[in-house]
Amino acid sequence: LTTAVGSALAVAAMVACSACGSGSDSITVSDPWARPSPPETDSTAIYVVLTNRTDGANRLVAAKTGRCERTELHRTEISDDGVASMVPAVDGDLMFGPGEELAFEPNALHVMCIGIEEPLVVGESFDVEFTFAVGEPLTVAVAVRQP
Amino acid sequence: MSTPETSAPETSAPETSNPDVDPMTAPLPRRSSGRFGVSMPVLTAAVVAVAVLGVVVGRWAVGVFSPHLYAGTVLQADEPAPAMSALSFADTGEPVDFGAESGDVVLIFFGYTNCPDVCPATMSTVTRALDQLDPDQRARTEVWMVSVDPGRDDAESLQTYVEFFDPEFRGVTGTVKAIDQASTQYGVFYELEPTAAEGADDYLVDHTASLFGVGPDGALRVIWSPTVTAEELGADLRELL
Repeated sequence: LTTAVGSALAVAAMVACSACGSGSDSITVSDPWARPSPPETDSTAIYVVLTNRTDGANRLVAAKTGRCERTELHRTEISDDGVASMVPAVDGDLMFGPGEELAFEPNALHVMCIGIEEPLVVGESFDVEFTFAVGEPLTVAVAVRQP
Repeated sequence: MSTPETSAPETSAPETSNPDVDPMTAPLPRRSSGRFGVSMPVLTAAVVAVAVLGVVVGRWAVGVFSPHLYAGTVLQADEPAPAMSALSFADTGEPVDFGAESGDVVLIFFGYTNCPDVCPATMSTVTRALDQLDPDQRARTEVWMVSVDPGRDDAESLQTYVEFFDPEFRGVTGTVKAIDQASTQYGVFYELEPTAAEGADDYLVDHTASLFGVGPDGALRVIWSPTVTAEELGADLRELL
């Protein structure tokens, strides 16, 4: 049984690592996805949960992809009376300590993708490179899907 | 729910008067133990049955009589929702008119097509909430998106945008003055915000991203935060319909 559990864990670890992308194994990635871009728009948002598996603090510096003319790291703020505003994420928003998650999700932190040449269509995926203050950049395959 | 065997004595009683059966050897009617002529297992079964019935009826009564707790903010005033008649539907170009939709629930959202996070997030929440309605409820729910960015959203692009989420959704737009008037009436704030990058055509719009629910009677009934879940919104819509 121990062997079975051991191999199951090994397989799970391999599967998990295949999602890590290349470059770094100290930051793990889960559920990278992007909204399909509606027609008539040239922007959309990319979401991902990054987990710091190292013993040192880190900070996301940028997320780049060839699919967007440029990307910005934004945070949606929704006030108590429902006013939504997008503000550029500041360094403090992008810090994550050992064991901490940096979650990009709807109505919160997101990678804003501006200047889409080819529409992002459900079912496809594209590479996004995340760069950090510490360590190697991480290239992640981001799936285009509905939430 | 099965009835316990309390009726057994009555049905078996006539057998004792059957002339073909010797009353001395015939099996006794099942009327054996218990002071009231009911056996303990039967009594227990009856008590359990009553208890179960009580729970079932209780739950039904709670469902029927207790008010639905809306996830959105419920407005008590019976005033008609602000008409927005100076604005037009993006698909037909006709002035916005609630009258024609009488009996329907109308969900109104103020947004803009170049909004990358909160608008598509809310629109897909609405889409998923509508999936929880039955076909009749769905047919009686209208979804309108009012553009707060008339400088970039022309009627055609706005309609194309909303149809991306659902072919039944309708864009609503008009002059800046008409949009200002409608947003004031709904208590919607919006303001153009330049982005970090340069370029006159590149800006974001801070805006009230709440969803407004107009009831079948034409009164503004519920306001939802953009963070409402599809499940919450679906349940509220079923109640509102």
